Amino acid sequence: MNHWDQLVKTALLGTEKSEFDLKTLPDAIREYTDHFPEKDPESRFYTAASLVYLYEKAGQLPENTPIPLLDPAPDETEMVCPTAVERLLVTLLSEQNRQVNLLAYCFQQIARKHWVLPYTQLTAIFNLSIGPGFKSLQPFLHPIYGNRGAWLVNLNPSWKVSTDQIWETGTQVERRKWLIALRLENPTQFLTILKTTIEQERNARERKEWIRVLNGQLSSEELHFIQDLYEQLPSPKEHDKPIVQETRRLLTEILLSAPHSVLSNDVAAKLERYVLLQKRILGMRAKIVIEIPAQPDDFLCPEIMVQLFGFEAVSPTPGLTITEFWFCELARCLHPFLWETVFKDRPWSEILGAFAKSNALHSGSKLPLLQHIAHALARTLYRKGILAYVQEYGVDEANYFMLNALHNDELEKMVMNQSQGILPDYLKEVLQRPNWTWSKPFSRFVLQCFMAPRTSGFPYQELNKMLAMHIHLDLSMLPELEDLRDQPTKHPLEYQMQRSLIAPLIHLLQLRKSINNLI
Amino acid sequence: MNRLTDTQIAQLAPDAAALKAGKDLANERKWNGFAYNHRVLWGEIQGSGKDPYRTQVDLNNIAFQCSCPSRKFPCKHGIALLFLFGNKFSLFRENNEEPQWVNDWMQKRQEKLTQGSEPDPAENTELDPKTIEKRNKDKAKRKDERLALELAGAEELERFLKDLLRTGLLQLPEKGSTFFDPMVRRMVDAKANGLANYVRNFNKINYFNNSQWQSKALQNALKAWTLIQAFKRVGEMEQNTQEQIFSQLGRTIQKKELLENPNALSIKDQWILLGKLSEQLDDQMTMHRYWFLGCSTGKSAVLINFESPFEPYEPLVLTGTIMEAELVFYPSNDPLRVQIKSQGPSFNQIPTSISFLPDWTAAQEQVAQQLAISPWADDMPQLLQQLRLVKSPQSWHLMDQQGAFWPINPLFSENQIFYLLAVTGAKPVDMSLLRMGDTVFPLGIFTENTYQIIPQ
Repeated sequence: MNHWDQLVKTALLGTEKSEFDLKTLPDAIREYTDHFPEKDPESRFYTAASLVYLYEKAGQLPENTPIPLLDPAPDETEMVCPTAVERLLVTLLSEQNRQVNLLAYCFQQIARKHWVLPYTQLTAIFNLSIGPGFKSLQPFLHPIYGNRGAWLVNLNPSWKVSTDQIWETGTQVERRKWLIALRLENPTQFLTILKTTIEQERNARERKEWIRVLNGQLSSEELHFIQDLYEQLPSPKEHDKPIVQETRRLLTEILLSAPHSVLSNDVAAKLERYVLLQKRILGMRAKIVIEIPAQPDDFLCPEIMVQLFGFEAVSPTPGLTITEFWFCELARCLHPFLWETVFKDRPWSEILGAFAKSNALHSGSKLPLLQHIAHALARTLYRKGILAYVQEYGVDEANYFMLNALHNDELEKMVMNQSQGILPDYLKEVLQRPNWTWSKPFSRFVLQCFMAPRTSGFPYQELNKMLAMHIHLDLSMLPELEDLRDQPTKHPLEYQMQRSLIAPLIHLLQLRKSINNLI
Repeated sequence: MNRLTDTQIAQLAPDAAALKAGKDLANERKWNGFAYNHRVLWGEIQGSGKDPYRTQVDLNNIAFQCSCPSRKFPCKHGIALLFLFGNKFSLFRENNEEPQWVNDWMQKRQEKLTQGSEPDPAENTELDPKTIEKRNKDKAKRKDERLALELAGAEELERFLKDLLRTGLLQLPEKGSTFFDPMVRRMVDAKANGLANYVRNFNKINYFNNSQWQSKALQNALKAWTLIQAFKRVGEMEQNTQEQIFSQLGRTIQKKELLENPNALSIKDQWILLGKLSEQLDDQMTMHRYWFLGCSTGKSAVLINFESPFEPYEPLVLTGTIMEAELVFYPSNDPLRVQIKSQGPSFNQIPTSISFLPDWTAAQEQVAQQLAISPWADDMPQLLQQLRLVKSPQSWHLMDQQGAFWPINPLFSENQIFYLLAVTGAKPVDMSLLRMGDTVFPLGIFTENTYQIIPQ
């Protein structure tokens, strides 16, 4: 026990019960204590202890027992962001209302330049990316955190979890967003993670949800993966659980939607017999007629449709026979590229028209079926049919997703023509395609929709929706927005709009402009 | 010429409303005109009044003036002008011919800075010798009365500490705050706030931590005891030591008084801001400490600002990490605490080479010398070369080139550890740090001729 410990022990017990022997102190201290004028034991103790405390504190030595060194961070292979970009990142990160899509945009720009994040911002960005509402940033971080970031992530398990396994901890929406973003940014990693997850997932319903992430625009690797899954399915049994049938159906749908899959080509060839082209008579145009058998035949039969494809055994749509229903389902799922190759002389718009007019579909149920078909078209170039359809029937909450098939400019025109100055939520959703900057007229149109005269105030959520859409606004809107902000007004609602919508939008657009200028 | 970043401007705003209003007004079209030169920024903006408001910002020693009636300081116009200047600099015209109203204000500020503060009109009037003599007598009487109060307080605490020791510190965990609170009040009444703080510290000890509370309680009692003994013999000591003891006891010197004191140590240098530490003292009071290092002199300094609902907080705003300034030190045999007398431009490049301590052994020698001068010294800034982060199973440490290491203070958060790792890559770097008891608190790192503060 050293002197200090002895002093502490004496102090704890008190000088009434314990006494500290000053003679045990080092000579350097005893030089003073030997000449203490203090009479009472407490004064003697305090003075001696003060000297010992300072003596030991002054003579304290650092530890030098062997301790393992951390492996230093590997050298960077890419260029670190310049100082100006670092300052911009500081500004973006210190914003009171940080916009996740603006940060994602900034990260994408950095990735395009093949730069890596400045070291000073790594911890702040990693911490942000594991916070609520910002987890979708993680896939954008992978390409830009560089060797230093990767090294740092290895030292901090919480970041490691966040970057590699977010779908295990995040909410369903966050997981889905994260995976979709990862598929865009790093398809190889996406597929590796997805394969592992599906293999390890024991819950059949969860497994089906993971498969669903692959719905649309399959790469050849993804197609192989789905085909493998389809082939590994157990033979259908009479008492299969509904989830087995649902999974079978999902895999069928995905494979049918892939133009190069064996299944989709096979099915397209089989469907040809039901779509007939009537010959030209007396100079009239050839006419497409769809003839679906009233009773199951060798293809539209339960053995194939129900047991192999997972479709319903009984038509769920009133007025639609089961064979008509199966045909519609196949038509809905099949990639229209195959329609083009199989039915060379039958343009899709005409097939769609024939479809709409066919007796079988002339009931009230035709609309949802057409919607399903149009939904499948989202991944294709076949937009004319949709445009024709939208012009005839209009867009509503039930069919809006077909608009995903349209090109940006087509969608802009369609929305401007159809929406009559009102943007329902479902349209707002369609308008937020990744990496899409609206044209100036369309940007103006969307803003005008938001700013349409109101009798009551702007709901907070409505303002937030528009602010979240800032990333799509054309930057050349800035002067117009500044004019709007500065227009003198005494109307409280206009004033609120200027302060709560226009001013923050200007700020966000200026930040995006800075990103474009610097990166 | 200083252009503040948005974050720095936000720090200056008195509240969120002023900040938001300032951002809204940071639009060139709302201003009738604006200009700047090397020392001042000014503009005119039409408000609700007949005449436009005249707004001015001293760019070197950040200060504001506006003719608007707002009680907020700085007002939204000052904030807006700074935002505009920072973000749309190209719109600003450099004009060395300042308008008269700008020139007048800058002239006044210059005088104020030279004199330390605005002259007290009462002091300018000539007094007759009798009044002066009476004032001096009153002053001496007040001084004696205070000394007597302090002495009585010190003796009372001395008796209290003796009683505590006689019965033993083992009973402390059971005492609770009610045991110490009357003594705290007694020390406050005796105008010995420094001693009151030592008594308060007994309440702050974590008595559930068995391995540490005994040692901490004894250390606290010893510091108080040493101060009491020093105070009882203060008359025998030299002037600077007396000042230090009075300062420890709780006597304060007003900023104005310090800046006007011709005998106070005053140093002009290029000062590196090593770091800022904020500490919540109680529910209402926060202490902000800015640590500095003089590039040429190698002198350390600390600027302490308090923030409370009753005292406006004056944040130190720098555009770089280094500022040209004249600092005045509070009298002490170990002068460290300062006030800024005048402040020039700030920049980021370190102008001269800085000398670093080679290893922990040299650093410890410096600590020993410091303790010899000031046994109450708590935190001490040091610069060490080539330190690297290492981790034992329990905690993080800083290791020198000899393989010796010192533990990092638990107040240095895990986030800060990872910041340091991110910036250094676990490679050795020259660092500045605070010695805090048995631990160290990293403040920043030197790379080539720049300095990077570790954010709080």
